[in-house]
Amino acid sequence: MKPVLVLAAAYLLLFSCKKDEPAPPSEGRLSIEMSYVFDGVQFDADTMLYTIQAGYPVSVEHLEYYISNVTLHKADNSSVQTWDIFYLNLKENDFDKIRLEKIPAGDYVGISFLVGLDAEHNKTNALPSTWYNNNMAWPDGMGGGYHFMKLEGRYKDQASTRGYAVHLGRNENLVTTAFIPGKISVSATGGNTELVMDIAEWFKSPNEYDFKVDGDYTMSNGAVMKKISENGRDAFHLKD
Amino acid sequence: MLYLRALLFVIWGGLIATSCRRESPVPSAEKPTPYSLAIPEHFPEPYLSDKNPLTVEGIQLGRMLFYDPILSGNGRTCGGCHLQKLAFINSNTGMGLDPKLYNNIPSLSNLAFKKTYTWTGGSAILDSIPATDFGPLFFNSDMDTVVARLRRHPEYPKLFKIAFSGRDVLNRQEVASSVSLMIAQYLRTMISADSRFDKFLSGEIALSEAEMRGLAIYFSEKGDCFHCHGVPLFTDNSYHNIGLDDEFTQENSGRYSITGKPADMGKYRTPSLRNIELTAPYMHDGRYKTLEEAIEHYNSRIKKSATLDPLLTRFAFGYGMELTQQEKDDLKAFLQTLTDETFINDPQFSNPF
Repeated sequence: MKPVLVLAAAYLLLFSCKKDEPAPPSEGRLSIEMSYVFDGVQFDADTMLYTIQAGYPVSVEHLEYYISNVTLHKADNSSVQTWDIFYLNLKENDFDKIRLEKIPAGDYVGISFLVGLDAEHNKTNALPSTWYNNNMAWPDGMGGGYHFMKLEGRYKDQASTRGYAVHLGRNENLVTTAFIPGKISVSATGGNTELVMDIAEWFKSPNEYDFKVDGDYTMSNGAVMKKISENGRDAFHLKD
Repeated sequence: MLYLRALLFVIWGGLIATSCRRESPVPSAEKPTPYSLAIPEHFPEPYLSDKNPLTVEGIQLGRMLFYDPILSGNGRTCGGCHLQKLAFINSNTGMGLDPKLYNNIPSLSNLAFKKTYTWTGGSAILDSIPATDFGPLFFNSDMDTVVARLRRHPEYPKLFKIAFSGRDVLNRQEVASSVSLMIAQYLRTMISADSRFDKFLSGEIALSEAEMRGLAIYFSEKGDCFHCHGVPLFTDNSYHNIGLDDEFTQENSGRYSITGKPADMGKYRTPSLRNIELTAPYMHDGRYKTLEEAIEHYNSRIKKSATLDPLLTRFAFGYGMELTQQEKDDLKAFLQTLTDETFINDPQFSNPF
């Protein structure tokens, strides 16, 4: 009789523990769609409709960049850190979204991220050899790794229309954005939000970019790339 | 003695005859054997065809057809113009092609890594491109004749049957597309990735001082070649106006002729620079006959237009790249390291007959 009771008690104990286990936390995919404006205005590529702060009319013909290490912030100052690297391209429909997998369900109050790659990944051949990563390579003789961003187009000065190539790279010019406020909700079925890049911001705030002073080609100019990098901190906002 | 000589002659003749005969594949159940492309290190994923997956038998058939005059009405073959020793460019054998209609045909290497084809990106499907060569300007084929020839050949009917999983495609309706599919499979295997520069990258060899100086010009803002002609494909597979012209008509409108977008006026696809010393002439219309001329274009001859690539405008407005003669020679020396002797001598890309 006694051994049976012991066994029965053990059986109940085992199964009662199972019933008391809390449900696993739910998580979902957060999709962040990229969109672009110029000084707050709807943006069309290849058109010379925009003027930067320093007064030059500009067009944007080419824009590709990396966003990585996205941090999602909560109201209690805790955060969820992700480590994925995303390649984005203004003109490629296949590269207009960031998808963060397995994000803990809940409400978030803001976001921050890197424009570019952290030092661990900013090394030649650190990224998979896709066509777009290959195209973003930064020459070994200039430090190796990858371009963080290529922003190209045309601008008018008094005399003529010339091209510009604002290319950002090298570890010291990595852009760490400021905290970008916005309500983001993620459930077990996922979440969606829209991240807006205001392209005009790369040319202002805190540093006014002037083609006559700063040139129109940045790769070999560390001081100019630093200016661009600082301007990138507030170049993004979340759509309401 | 005479008897011995005759015997020796017969033996010698027999050896010659049997040594020249190509190997026949072992007949198997009528399903082709899947073939996996070996991707060189740091190359991106290839663009393969779901409808035309690579098979051992398909590739072998494609190779035979590439070199076989059986397809043409005038004795021509693909390989007779697309010469292996020139990295398979069209060697301009005086076929009388109108240069306004048929631009400079680029090398057939590394086609598997291209998403679209031709200078303006008008073709997205490699599988159907070879079929265009049946036309009057190239093979001038009578398709009924081609079908008849293939059907009575001792090996082709069997090979086609295996490659197409038992289906009989040697008929008027299907022969052109079927031949094209096989040649396309073969073309996808033509990978060039073993130039002297590749060996340098992997640490196998050193480059000369001149080649290293040229490399420094190529991969810096001095020459700025790397932005469009970067490693490992030596093309970004994108479209650029590099200042060849400053006025545009239908003949030189480039990508605009496909998309209709003014921003695409005068833009052509970046060709790969692999094997570039072998693949003269240069540019979409073959206007430059030598590497020196092509280099000089970037150095001092870039023409301004509304769609000139932003990366090149600084050379169009100033004094150009201002390369010294020494620097031009060094850059040429570096470009010559992109020649792939392995590829142009590889027996699997040679005439099997």
